[in-house]
Amino acid sequence: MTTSTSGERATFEQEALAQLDTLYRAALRFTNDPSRAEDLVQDTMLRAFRAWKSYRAGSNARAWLLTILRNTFINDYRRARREPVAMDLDVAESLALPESARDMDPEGEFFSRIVDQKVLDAVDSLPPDFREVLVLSDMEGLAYADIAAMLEIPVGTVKSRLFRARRQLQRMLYDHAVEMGYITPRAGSGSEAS
Amino acid sequence: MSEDRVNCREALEQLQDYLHQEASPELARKIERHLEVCAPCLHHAQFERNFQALLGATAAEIRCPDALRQRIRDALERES
Repeated sequence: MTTSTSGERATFEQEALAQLDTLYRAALRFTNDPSRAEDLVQDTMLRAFRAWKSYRAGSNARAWLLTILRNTFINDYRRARREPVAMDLDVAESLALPESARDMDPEGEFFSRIVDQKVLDAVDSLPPDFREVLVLSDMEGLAYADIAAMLEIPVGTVKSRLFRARRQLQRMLYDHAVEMGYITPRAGSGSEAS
Repeated sequence: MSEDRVNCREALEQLQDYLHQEASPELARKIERHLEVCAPCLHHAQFERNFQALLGATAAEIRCPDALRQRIRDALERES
């Protein structure tokens, strides 16, 4: 290994590994399958590393990596989204709460992890075009302009998809959000999300 | 055109963009002025903000598994 490639890897790791949580979350929502999500993230990181020279330092690494992830998903993974895949033990283990977290006895936290599956299920049930913009914006914090560039659609289309995606989610999750204490229903009005 | 605030319909249409820091500074000021005097719109803004918090909190709970992180480090090592 030459000095320059090891330096390259160091800067890549510094910038790109910091985005792994984001990439994994997006991959989970795209593939709807933990095992395929892991493969997608690994493929994405290897492709990104090979293309690292084309990344402009100081630009938005998160948006750059998510673009590669999305392209990889569309080219290599999308057709298989509905494929039923048996969960293997490694994956089941990685989904379980870490021992340390359980030892600290956060019973409430464990509970909240389970019920928040409702939020994820609602996101997963959105039409793909809506789900995509919602995940990129509201879960991963990309700016509208970055999403528009990534999807090659006008910013106005991003806005209208987001507006409708959020409305649909709010309808699906209104009762859950009240139950979780995130919103307080207005007295005499249950039509907030309609 | 040069009014210093928006009406309820305009405020609600632009509210999400405002909350996501995607509104122009001028529009943001107009919406803020409207929210100062309109309790129903302020209530709705709170609803939107809290709903975003629920989505954000849900996302924050999901982390890349350590095993995958290590697998990627190893793959990068082999690659370079």
